[in-house]
Amino acid sequence: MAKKTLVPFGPQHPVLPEPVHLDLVLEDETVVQAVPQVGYVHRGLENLVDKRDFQQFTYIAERICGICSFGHSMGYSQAVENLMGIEVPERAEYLRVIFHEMSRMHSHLLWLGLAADAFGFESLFMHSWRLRERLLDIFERTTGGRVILNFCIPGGVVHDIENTELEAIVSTLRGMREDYDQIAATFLDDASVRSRLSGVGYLSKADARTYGCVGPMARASGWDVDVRNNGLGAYSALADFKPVTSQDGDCYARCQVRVEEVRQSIDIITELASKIPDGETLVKIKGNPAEGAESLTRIEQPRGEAIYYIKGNGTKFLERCRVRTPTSTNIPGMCATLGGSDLADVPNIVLTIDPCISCSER
Amino acid sequence: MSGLFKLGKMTLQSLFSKPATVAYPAEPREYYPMTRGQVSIDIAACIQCGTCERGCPTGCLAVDKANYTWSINRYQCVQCQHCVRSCPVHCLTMRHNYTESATEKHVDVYGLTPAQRAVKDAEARARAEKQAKAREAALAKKRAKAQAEKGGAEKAAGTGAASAAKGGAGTTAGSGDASGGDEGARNA
Amino acid sequence: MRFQDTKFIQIDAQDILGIATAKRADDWRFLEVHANRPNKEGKVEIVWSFFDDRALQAVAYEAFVDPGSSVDSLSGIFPCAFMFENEMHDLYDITVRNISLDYHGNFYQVTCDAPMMDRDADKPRRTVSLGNGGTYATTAPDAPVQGEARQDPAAPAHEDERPDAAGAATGE
Repeated sequence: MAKKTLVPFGPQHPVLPEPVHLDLVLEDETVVQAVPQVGYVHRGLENLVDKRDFQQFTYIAERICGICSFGHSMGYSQAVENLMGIEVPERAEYLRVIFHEMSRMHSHLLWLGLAADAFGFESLFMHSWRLRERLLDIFERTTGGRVILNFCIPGGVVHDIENTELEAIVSTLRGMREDYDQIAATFLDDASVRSRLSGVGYLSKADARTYGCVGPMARASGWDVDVRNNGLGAYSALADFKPVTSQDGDCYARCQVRVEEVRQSIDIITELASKIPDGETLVKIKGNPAEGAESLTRIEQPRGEAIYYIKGNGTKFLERCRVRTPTSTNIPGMCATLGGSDLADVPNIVLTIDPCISCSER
Repeated sequence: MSGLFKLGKMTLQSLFSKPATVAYPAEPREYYPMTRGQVSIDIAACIQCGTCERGCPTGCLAVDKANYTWSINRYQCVQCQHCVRSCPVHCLTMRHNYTESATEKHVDVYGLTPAQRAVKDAEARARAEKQAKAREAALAKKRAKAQAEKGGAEKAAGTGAASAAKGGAGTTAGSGDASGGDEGARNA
Repeated sequence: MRFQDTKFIQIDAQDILGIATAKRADDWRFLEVHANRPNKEGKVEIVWSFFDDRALQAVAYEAFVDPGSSVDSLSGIFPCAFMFENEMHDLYDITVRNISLDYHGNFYQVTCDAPMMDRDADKPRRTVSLGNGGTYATTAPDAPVQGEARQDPAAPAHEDERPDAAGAATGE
């Protein structure tokens, strides 16, 4: 008869970028059940809608999370534009997507570093983050901040990025590619990495659909759910976009999906930078959101699909702003994959959903 | 060896190249021209309109119109640059370097020298006087117009046939002139 | 398409279970559920949203309920709903029946009930302590309100005791 023990995991744990607590019920070394507990970084940011007007709220939306910061500002801006019927200039749309894809790259490189750290491969962790520094340098050079960019506001983008600067960005990314290929080869082919990630934390496609997983977690199980399929904004200018999927559904597959998505992002940025039209980058917003107007928009954050629901009430303050982030939807799926896994694999599995708890709790 | 030590090339490279980190503070940090460090103001150019104060998402700015000062709580500032962008006279700029560390939080207040303040006070007084004069002139003009119409009504009442007087009284009834008299009362 | 057009449909709160079952059968995806602050009539609005991957169409169902009322949980049909329903219960005081994993108000350790409902109201706060053998115990709502934030133990307690930088004696 196996003995049941309760092991608390988190909120402070070396693999976790943000605090989440799991109560793991173990039978000997196997996890039988995992009960999540969140709330360690709940700041009640949604409460600030009646203290900051809808244009100032962009700055708050950006600071919901440090890793997916640009995605939040872009999603919020899109939601406000949807609410008030504002058409953003095409050049602004292209610039937004270029920066969003760079944000995805920086987030995935951060995750790759943390994943390497999780199974003890410290040097790979350092190399990934060293590569990521080049992206952060691009951000600082073009927008002024390394993680919080303050670049996307309702109406467009704050200032224009010259075409010469875009070419410099593309050539930096091309220069990164060789180093990145080495890191990617290590993640995908190294024997020690494979032995830690292969076959661990399996989630079938049916389960992914049942649990409503989104993002790379769902795509690794073979389900091609991706908001970029919608073809909104500058994504419609891409010649061909197919989400990166894998059929294996284990931790290795999720790692594989993220590795490939970095390469896909480099391709997207290169393509859009060559196709970007000239023109304005910002339209001024006049007036306030109408009373009773609502809008619900979605974007593809690095971790999955994020939803922005905004409701206006006729004043310059919004009535409600609700952000649903992908981690909230992925946590139940993660708890399902934890069932049946070894205790030693728990950090790896928790990390492969790319937990961004500060997003999911706001 | 195919599955092991994939990072060989990168490791060897980093063994013989210079470190990726900066030996701060011995080596100074190179900032980019656009780096958002801290807000600075050219206080002489500030017109104390308060646009920055109203737009600041953290509420760290305070503008005192009477004393011509602008203050910032740098520890609340999130370097979002909203004030720099929205200032109508462009007296705010963003410096590259971060706020210096301190042992206790304080508010930075920027004000004018007594000489500059005297100049601004004189300008304000001159503006106020000009406005007062303009208001007086407008009032005088209005009074003159009313007097002219009153004079016109009396003349019409003095000369006229009843219909002409009624018409005249009708035009002066709007101005509420009590000397419209009997005709005005009958019309009302 | 430039804009994402979501359909907003008004329903009765008790119909949501039937709608969700139909959506599951139709292979739709559950996006989220949340509540809005009371409107002018004092009713709380609950919004459930679903997404059709084939038509790329989002639909949101809205229901007005009285504050403190209860609705059915969708976690039997869409397991990931329990996160949002617990949050709704903690922040807006909407009781959700039959959540698969029910935290009974301890999902977020907030210091007052339903903090998002009437944001300007001054509600009595309670202390929240984690620990006590792994339980997330909160004291009763009518417990005495705790004082201001903990002081730095190294800082002088009273202003007069603070060392004078200039070294001048008091009374000068």
